[in-house]
Amino acid sequence: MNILKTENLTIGYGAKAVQRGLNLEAQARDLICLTGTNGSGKSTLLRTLAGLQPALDGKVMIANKDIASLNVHQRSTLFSLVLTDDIDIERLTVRELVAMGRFPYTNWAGSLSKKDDEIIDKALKDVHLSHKADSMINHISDGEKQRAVIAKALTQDTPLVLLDEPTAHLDLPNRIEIMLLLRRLSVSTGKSFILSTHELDLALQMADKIWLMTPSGVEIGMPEDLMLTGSFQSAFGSESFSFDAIDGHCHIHQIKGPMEIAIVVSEGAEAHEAWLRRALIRVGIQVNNTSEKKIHCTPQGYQLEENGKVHTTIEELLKNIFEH
Amino acid sequence: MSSCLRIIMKNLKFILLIFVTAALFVADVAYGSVKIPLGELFSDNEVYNNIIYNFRLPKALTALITGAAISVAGLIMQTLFRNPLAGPYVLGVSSGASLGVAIFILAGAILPTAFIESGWGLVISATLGAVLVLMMVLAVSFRVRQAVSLLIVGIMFGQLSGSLVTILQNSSDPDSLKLFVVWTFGSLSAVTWNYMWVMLPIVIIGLTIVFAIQKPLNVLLLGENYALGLGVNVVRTRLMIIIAIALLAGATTAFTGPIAFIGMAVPHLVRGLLKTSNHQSTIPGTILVGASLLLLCDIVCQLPANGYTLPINAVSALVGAPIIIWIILRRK
Repeated sequence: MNILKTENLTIGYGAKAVQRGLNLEAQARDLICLTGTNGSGKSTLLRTLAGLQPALDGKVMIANKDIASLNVHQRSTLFSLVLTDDIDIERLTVRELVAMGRFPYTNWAGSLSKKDDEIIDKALKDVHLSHKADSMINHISDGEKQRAVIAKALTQDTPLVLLDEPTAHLDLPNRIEIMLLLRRLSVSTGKSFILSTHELDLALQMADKIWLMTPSGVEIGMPEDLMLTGSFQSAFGSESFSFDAIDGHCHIHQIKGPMEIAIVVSEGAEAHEAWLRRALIRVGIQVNNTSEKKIHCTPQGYQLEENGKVHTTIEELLKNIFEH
Repeated sequence: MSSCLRIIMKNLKFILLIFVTAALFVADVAYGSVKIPLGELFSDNEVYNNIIYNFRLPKALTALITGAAISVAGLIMQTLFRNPLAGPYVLGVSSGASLGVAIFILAGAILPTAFIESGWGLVISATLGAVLVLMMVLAVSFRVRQAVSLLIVGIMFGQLSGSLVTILQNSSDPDSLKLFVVWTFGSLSAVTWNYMWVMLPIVIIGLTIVFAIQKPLNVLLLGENYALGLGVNVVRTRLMIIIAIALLAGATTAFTGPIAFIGMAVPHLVRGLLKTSNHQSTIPGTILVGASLLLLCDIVCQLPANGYTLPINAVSALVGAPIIIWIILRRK
């Protein structure tokens, strides 16, 4: 069964449509990354799916229900949100924040039952925050705070979780940690996660499906398929960089200088050669193996053929080249 | 037995606060410019009885009710605006209430004085004035996100209300002007038993609303979008908050005049004391601390001997203003 389905959805602000005729689907256990250039409508789509802004046309169906016909309480049992809105509350513990996810199920006073407590404990455990349960949210790191907000979404007990740039403002280890966490949760809880992100590398490795938003529409597919059809290149590619056809990494096109140089590689120095090549390209030296100028690259160092000097670091080598 | 003990320990701070409030209430009744020996508090001395029942008791009750009401108004304003510097006085709501009263007394000279003196007219006009300013500040708050900027906007609205009151005063007839000037002298002691029966029920209605919406108040701390995501009817909750603020700040300002800074300062003291932002705890905590603090201010007002008392507003500002400065410095 589809957890989420949109029918001919048109999104935008006022009379200005950003995307038209979207037919999107999400199933249980899906981790879907919503990506695209700035202004392609990532946030607008996510806000529309969350009912935070109205659809200009078409329908958003969650668990076979048209969300336009549901009130806020009914919606809150179908999907939960992780937003970019800053949570800055004095004197609120991680546990109290996570407990707020139980809001749709508690009585008027918000009292937590034993079952609620168990659900909260489990969510804290799922995001590895049990040891910080009694810390104040203003005293934990940004990565921990984001995990606490995700735990809040888990306690809300919805089949769908929508996340708006959950890795923004985090450092690299935390970005990877959050993506891994979501990947693990989608498998262990069976929930469907839809997140917008600028992290192409992570999205390519983690997502079941990519919704690639371009000014001309949304391309949907597995990351591998989209890569092979060149969709990424046409959505993001510019003169300045391209995606590696094999590993999907992004390569920046460098400036082209007048100097050319050849690299002679000895055995065991493949890594040295790759990094040397990168350094040379960055400073504007083109690598051309027919060039008369040669660098002998060995695991021990780099030898410039014309004067025979051996340099142990690329930095020294470059200094020597530029001195001549 | 042990479970009983646990309940006591859990609520120890509340039990202590109740004792403190009760003690301050008794002290406020017992202490005043006319010395009444403690042993004579319940005696048959007619002069003492008159002072206590017609003067000290309503005054202490007013301090208790007003302190609780404006502090709770401050608490829910801080939640509504998501701004630690919000409060009925600093955001101009008290000034709005004064403007309402000024329009009512000065422009409403055609009304029978009996209506004015009954107190209901004062309360209704003060509440409407409070709502007016609150709506304007709220509209601005959607555009101004910075805490201190909103404070400045609130002060401007307060100034605006103040100048409108001055203009009204200058262009009104002597009779109603006299009535208004008498009102501006309002203090805790201006509330007679007649006024009390107007003020008390309205404050109780206001507090009941606040207790009823404690759960959505907690979620509103996360901001409007998260609250919507958790199923809160944000528009309705916001309306309830505005009505509650207007009733609490309006009903008390109508009789005592604006009281500076208490409403803003008390919620911070309570969050620090109870170490939580959960409204389930902070609402009763704010009622008790707010009542205690204003009772304490009133006792301080009586300190100068020889029948001379300090204005309550001066004393409350002396307590509240340093707390504002402390909060601004701590946030940097």
